[in-house]
Amino acid sequence: MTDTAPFLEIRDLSVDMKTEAGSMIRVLDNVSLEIRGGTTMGIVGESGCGKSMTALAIMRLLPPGFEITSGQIVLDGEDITKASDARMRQLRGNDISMIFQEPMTSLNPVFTVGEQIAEAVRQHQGLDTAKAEQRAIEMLKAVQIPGAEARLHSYPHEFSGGMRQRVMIAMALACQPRLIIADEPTTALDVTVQAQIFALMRELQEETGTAIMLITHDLGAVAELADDVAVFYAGWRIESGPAASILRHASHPYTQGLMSCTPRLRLGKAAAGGAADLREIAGMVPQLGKMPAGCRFAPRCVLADDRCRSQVPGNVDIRKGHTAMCWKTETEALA
Amino acid sequence: MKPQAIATPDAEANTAPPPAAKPDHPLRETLKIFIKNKSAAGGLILMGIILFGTIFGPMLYGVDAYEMVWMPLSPPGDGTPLGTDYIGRDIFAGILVGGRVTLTVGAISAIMTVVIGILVGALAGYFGGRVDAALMKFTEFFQVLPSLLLAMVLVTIFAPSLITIIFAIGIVGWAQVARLTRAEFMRIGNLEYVKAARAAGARDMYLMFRVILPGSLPPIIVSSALVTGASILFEAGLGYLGLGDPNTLSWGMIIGQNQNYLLDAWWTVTCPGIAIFLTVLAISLIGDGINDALNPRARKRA
Repeated sequence: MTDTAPFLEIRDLSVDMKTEAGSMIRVLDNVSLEIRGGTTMGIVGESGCGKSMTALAIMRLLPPGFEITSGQIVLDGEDITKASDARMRQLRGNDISMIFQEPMTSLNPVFTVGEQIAEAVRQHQGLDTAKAEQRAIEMLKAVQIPGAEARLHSYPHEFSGGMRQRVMIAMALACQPRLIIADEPTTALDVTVQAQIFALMRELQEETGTAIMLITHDLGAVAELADDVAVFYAGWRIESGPAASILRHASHPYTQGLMSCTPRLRLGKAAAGGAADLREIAGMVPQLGKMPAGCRFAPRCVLADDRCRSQVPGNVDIRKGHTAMCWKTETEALA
Repeated sequence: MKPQAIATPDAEANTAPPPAAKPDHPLRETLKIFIKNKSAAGGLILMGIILFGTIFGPMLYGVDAYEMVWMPLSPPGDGTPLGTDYIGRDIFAGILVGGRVTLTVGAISAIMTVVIGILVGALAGYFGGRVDAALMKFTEFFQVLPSLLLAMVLVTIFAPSLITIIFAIGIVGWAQVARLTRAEFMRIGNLEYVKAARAAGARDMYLMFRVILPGSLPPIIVSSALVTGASILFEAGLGYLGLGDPNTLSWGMIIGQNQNYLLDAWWTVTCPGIAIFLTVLAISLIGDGINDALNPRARKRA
């Protein structure tokens, strides 16, 4: 089930952070995104580039000191940057759920998993205790936890990491949200378990038609799950488009760099020269508040010239729905 | 992990401990673990005996603790089971009756201490920032006050009634519970599961008392047990100084009134002293037992 109308639309969103000294530092700069119902949007980038900030801005759960300074977040026609706190509480859990990075610490250690799932359902859907428990069993079954009835009364510490992440997914799905924000849901897990979790998420998405925003630094995960991809760098969304287009024709030098940083399995002859294949992007993400004047990636970019260093690039259409924020793609396209 | 594990989630489940066929209700499970713990069970039995003695003892023993019944300062076994005090009152009857005041004052002021402490600590630790700064200044104010002196002043200004004494003990003891609660709230408030609960639409009150508080209870319970013990000692201390309610008898008062005869009649102070000691001991043992039973990670070894 795929809707064409965007379910979540972020328009020119900027988030500022107040420093100790009182000045404002922009951590998210004019970011725009669209997520269609029933599809998965992969958000890719290095640590500290604004991926999680975007997610927290959507939840309106930015840490103290951070605030949305401009732009809109339109969820199904409603601009939630202006929604009241009460309305946001309603949306959280009901319409938007979040799956966190650390399955080990994302569950409350003093309650059984059944109580935790049932509580979420009881709060949002007003079910009574017995029905909520029934729903919790259903959800545990949906995420393929064997012996769901008995496991209902287990405590989180009695589960392995993969199982806990399943429970987290069960909790996130229990109220049938229309958007799930998964913030690096598999970073802490084994690759084998990771594959299971992705398969499960895809399956559940097909069943429920929920939109997923998958935050990750793992391009493999994106290739696996995402319909669309947005690449973030230093608070900018530097490239976005359909996943296939981006993975095949990465246009921004940073995206290309990220791709060449991803290790691949090679067997036989190719393995001999394999090590040289794995490249790194030289340098570091610029420090917040010390952003270069032109393109923020220029100091690390092999293609950068004077214009890159002095003028901020605009968004360039590469092909249908695929844009990159780079001076160089334009010149190359023209040439 | 074996390669097959990729295909079947069941393979992974096998590594987890097998779930009990029919799990107990969590409360009953907690109780079971508590009872299995020998020292906790000992504390509970001891506390039971003390409570039974103070509630029904005076009725069953039938000796008026306020009346002169025998020769003053006669030793234990010589007419009375635990001897008599300096005006010939039965010490055993005094302990039975005095326990009521001591335990009531200790328990109520401990509850007061813990409730104020948890409320202040929770608000400060949860909201942080200015709320935290203001509440902590307030807490520090109470923490630096010499507590016994403050209690003495309060009791002296107002009439030394039970209510004044309870209030005096309650008001001087909550600072450390507040600090502990605040620290626990700050630690747990940053954990992912609290963020997850907030992301699931929980309100502040719900987060504070249903999500964060249960996780921070173990140290608070242990501290509460200590506070209860300390409150009983405090009451005894006030009684000893002659600041107890003059119309009632308490353990501290028995000790205080007989202190001049300590060298001639050891039983007059030793017996109520032992009663205080055993009560505080019982409470500490129970507190430790509850801590072990409430901690889900400790369940496996039980």
